[in-house]
Amino acid sequence: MTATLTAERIEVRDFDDFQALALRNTWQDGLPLVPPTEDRVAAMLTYCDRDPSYSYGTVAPFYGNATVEKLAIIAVMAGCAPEYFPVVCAAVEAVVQPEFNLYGLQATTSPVTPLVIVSGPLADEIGVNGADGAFGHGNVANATIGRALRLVLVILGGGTVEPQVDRSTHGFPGKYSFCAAENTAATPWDPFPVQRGFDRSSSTVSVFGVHGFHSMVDIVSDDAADLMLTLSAGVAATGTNNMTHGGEALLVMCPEHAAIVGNSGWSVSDVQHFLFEHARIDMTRLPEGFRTYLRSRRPKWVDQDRYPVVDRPEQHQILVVGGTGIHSVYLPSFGSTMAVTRPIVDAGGNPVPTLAALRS
Amino acid sequence: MPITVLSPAPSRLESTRTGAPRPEGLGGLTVGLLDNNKPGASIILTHLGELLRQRGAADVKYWCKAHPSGPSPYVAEAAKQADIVISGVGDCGSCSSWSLRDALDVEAHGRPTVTLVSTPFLAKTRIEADAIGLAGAPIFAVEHPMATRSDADLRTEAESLLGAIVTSLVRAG
Repeated sequence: MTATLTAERIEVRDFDDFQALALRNTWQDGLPLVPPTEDRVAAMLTYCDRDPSYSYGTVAPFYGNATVEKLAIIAVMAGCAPEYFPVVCAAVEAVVQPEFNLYGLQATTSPVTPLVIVSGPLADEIGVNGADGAFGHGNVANATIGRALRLVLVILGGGTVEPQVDRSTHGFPGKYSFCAAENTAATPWDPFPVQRGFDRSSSTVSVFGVHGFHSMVDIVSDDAADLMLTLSAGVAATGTNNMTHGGEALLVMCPEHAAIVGNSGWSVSDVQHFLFEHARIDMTRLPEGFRTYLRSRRPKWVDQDRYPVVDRPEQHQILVVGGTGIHSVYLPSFGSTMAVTRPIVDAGGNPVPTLAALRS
Repeated sequence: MPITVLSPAPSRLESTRTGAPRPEGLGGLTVGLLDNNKPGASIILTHLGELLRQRGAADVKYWCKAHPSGPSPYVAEAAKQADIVISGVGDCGSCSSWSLRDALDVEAHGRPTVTLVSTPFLAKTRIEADAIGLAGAPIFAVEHPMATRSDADLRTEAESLLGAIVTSLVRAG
């Protein structure tokens, strides 16, 4: 296997010398990296049946070629176990799709990064956390898969803070890593990829170009409409890119909130239509100058006092992630981006429900 | 004990882009303005269009995209209907990058372009032009911030950029 790897070989003195090399070349995110030795890279390729020269596309804005070989090297650097590699590849394939607008996401002053959501049997098999603490620390798969994608954006895409290509005004903690599983065991609805036409037995990776993380607590509502009114008020946040651009907006419901709504017979479409009707901004609170600005962006809505954050109900995307508790999360999007879902498949394009099918 | 590591550095794609040939003089040319819909951009661009007309351009055409942070749907139309194109004005990260990208895509159709951004985004767009394969693509900066300045101030700035823009778009006739 290693005979087919064409990457330049570089000799370093030791672990620390590799960190210095990575720093000089801006192959880094500020944290220590695992040296990508031949043995480790070969092990990473165990769960990939594609040729190392196969490319998933190019990564904006530098348009470096995302070959299997480079992705394996970077996945090693991020600390991924080999069984995570199919997810890393699918995530990269997803973010390079034109509708995701990675060129805009990498450049923007907004606090934006891809959120990676793994759905299906493979998420359980490799241990991606979609329950308690899913967006936080402490799970190796979540941490390193998300980190690997970020390092791909930096190393192959050139999305560095210095030199200043990534121009995010504040940055975003998710720019270190932002990956979780969908909590398909706890959702009262079809899993997100099934809503998008994928088979229930498929494993998939979905990416969302998210713009912040706004938690919303409601411990008292036990009625679906009451709870959805609380969440709608949070989704109607002013100043988001959804407000200025429209586009898709992601509501991540905790299992307890999802159960209240789903067990009352509400479908995902019902939730989307309710949000579209009730997650509206009171335009009378805004100065005329800002309204004038919005008139050039979303003219259809500006002269309505109740201004929606998306243009169509189905642009409210609904996911169930998280564990015990009554906190749901609104993740507005970059606006000029669309979520992309990619199935985890082998080189022949056949779905890979479990790792055994990929082991070479 | 030395370690041998594999380099993660990407193989760069071979550049297939070359700058469009520059026409001789402004006389008779149609100027295309690709507005990115940022506040103030239309003031700067339309004033530049008027100044170029005063200097001999025959006509000015104007397109404004709905959202600054994505591609302009008017790239092909502008390349077809205009002889020289000004794209901008990028005053944030994604909109400056996309104004540049719109311009470079017009160049790929064989029309000369310049891109306008605000000062903090000049270095990054130059780096990106290099990465996209057209190092040295003409990019000029206006003072930042742009959105809160008076129309008169923006017109004055357009006037100060005019000479450099003309030099970048046409050969001395």
